[in-house]
Amino acid sequence: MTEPTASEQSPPPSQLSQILLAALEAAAGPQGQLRAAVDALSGQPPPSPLQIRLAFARAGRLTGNATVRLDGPLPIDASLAGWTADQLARLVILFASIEQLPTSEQVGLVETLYRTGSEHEQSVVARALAWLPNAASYAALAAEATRTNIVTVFAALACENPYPATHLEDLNFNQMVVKAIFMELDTSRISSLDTRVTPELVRMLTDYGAERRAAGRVVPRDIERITQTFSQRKSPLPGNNP
Amino acid sequence: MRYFDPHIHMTSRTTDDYQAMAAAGIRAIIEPAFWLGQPRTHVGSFEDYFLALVGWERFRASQFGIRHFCTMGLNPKEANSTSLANEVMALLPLYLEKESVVAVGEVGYDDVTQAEEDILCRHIELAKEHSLPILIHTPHRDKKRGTERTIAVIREQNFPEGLVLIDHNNEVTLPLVLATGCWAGHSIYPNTKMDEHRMVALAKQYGSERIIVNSAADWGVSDPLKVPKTAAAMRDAGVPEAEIETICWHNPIKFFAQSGRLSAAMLEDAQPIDQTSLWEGNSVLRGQTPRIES
Repeated sequence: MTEPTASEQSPPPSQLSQILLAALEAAAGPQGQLRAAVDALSGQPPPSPLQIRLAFARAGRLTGNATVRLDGPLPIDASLAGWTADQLARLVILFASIEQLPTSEQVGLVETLYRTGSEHEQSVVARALAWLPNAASYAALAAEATRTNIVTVFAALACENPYPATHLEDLNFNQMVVKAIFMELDTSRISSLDTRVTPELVRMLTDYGAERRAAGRVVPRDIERITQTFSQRKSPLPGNNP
Repeated sequence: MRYFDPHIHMTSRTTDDYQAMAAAGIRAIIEPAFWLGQPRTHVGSFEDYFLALVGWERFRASQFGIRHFCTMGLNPKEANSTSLANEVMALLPLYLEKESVVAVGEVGYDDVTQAEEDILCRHIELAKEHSLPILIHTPHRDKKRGTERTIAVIREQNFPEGLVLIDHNNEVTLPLVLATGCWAGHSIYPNTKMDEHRMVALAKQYGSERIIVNSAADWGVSDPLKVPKTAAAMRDAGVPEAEIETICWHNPIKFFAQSGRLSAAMLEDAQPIDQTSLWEGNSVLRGQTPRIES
């Protein structure tokens, strides 16, 4: 995709790490242990992938896991509402350390963090993708996340996250939208959804609405909202205006 | 009446379920290989699962008077991890030869990706090589298109339609399937997929030919008694007893008997129960007095 990615528009990950760490401290008090971990990961010699994985796993013990209310605005436009201190700490750790690895090892690390992660850890990875260097390299991982049945992980990718609209292929994006409706998530939370509505997505949603009607079940409102957005977006034919 | 549940994931269920199923008249079941709720990351996890389907789980069912068969395949959800999928596909020929395996399955589409289609085609090849019928899962999302594409692929591969059971149908997909020579399965679920009353309406509209029902009970909120409950709903709605027996007993047997590894004669007598028996040294009992019934 040629549009600028979130990572090109915002500070580099190491700086994001410091900003989020400061926001976490402002909301939840000093985080001495997390600061020490970040210093160790961002200094010399650079950390190994295993050291980053261990720090990522350990993060919750450094900060506790209470829900944190951050004061915005932050240079990361994904909503972090409802996030817990351990999730923010993991975001801080990932952003602090990712550029310490050679480019060739970054994708492998992030994929391993996702594959071996708990629900909270996977949500952090899904949320972080847009701000990682070479963000486009994570499209396969994001597609995998659209297939998860863990609602929180799915929502971390699908909702208030610029990554799907920027990087997912149509097939994966469309499946994600339909799955969001299956999971009863509000599709207005999908960033830039309106820019990605295609005739194929409209067809999928229309078919799904027909199945629901045939089964005598309620047709989710999101279907009408999205399909109407699409028909209104198409410019009317000349002379067709009332 | 005796019942056959041709799609139920018993490794996720309890011994209480087995007891309730036997008491409700379920005499035989088929457990399709599927996914476990979170993705597996190593081929060895699949191999141990396949071994359990033909081993321990079959024994466990027998201890409660239920005959257990299974189908083997790589489920579509996990078909998208290409390298792991290739390793699992290499395991399948061996497991398809095990004696209680009565079909390839459940396979088909989930996200309707190219990777899923490639794996579906390779399963169809395996079904041909091992002379087995095939059990097809239809997707939850984009179900109609997924069903249409499945039918198109079966035809492109020249696979006999009478050897195909397309599962998880609803009001929209059932007429598409019945217009082919394929059999049509319906998974009766507490909320999604299909419920008893909708199934009654379909049975009244379409009759019993090539129609099958199952519980598809698994590790989620589901009900292992949905086959007898659907039969009861049909009975209450005046569906003739012979039709009910065709849908809930004869049809699944007729379809899976095409494997040559299951037959009506084999199922005529109830599975004898001998709870003194062991599987590789292990019993299902925890200090209870063993039941022996023949």
